Amino acid sequence: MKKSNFPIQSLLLVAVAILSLVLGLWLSQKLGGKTLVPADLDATFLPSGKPLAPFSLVDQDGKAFDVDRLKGRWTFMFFGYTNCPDVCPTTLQTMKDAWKLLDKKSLDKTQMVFVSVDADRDPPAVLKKYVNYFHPDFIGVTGKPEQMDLLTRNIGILYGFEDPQPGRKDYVVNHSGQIVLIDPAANLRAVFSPPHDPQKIAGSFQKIRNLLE
Amino acid sequence: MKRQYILTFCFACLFPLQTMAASTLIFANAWIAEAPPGVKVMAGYFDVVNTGSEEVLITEITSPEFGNIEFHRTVHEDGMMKMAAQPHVHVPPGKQVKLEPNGKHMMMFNPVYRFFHGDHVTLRISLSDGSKQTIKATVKAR
Repeated sequence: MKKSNFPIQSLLLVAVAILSLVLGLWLSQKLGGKTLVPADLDATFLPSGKPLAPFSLVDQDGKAFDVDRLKGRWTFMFFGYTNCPDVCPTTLQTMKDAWKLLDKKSLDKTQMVFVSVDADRDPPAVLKKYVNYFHPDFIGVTGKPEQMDLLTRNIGILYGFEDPQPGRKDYVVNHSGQIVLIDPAANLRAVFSPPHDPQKIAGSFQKIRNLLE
Repeated sequence: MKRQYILTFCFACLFPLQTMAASTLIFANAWIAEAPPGVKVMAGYFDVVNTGSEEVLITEITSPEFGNIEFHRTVHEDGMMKMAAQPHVHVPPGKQVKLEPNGKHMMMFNPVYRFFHGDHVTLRISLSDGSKQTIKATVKAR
């Protein structure tokens, strides 16, 4: 009797082990999948996201632009200045091209923000004309240096002013070339590094949304 | 005296060669990126080929439509995009040099009026061999 039960017990144990393995794999894919990074993402992805600390800037209409303006939608953000002849307009054009690749459903939940770190030369009225040239829905943002630094340091954006050459009023501003993506809960979620490509930005954005939404 | 004549003749022969040297640079695809309203600094680009056997420098470009024009190169350094001023554009013999977005470019200050897609701008180019060329650049939307 004892002898004849042995194989049944063994079979049961093996069956339980296999079931456990299958269940474990299924659960790890179902639950753990949320933090996986898509293999072919053209961006640096932050699986947990980095919450943005409070900051207070103004938009092109002089209205407050703070963390609350980031909530409830995805935000692409690029930092520069309007007198930037090459990198900034090229990047904004790329953002416009990426914008065109998004479907209407995505557009309703997405905003493109150009942040000028050069508040002296880029007051809201100047920014309004500038961003409107690229797209009427684009948002221009600027603000005081201490508030700007709260945002830029928080998301790892660098900028610095070069001294004007003797006898010149104009000056050059050096700045990071990254486009950052902030999720609807105001977490830094991804960083796109130059050179930028609208197809890659739009494609990666879709993959990130598929993962998180 | 005879020797002086010979030298003068030699120099006279060299002069046309110097003029010919200017023609070793061929400019193409000159364009200026249309800029948003109010912007006082624009960027311009072109391709240039040196068909000669000597390096030629583009030493200066002026335009009646701009206050001044400088050469710059966008460089990614210390985590930032920086503008590195370039005194000249070097065009090695037998090579093509491209001025293009996010690379070498003309930084064009203080346009005399706002340019739109399709406009043309005159560029007067000075070369290291002492010669000059005048070309037209087309304003284009990015």
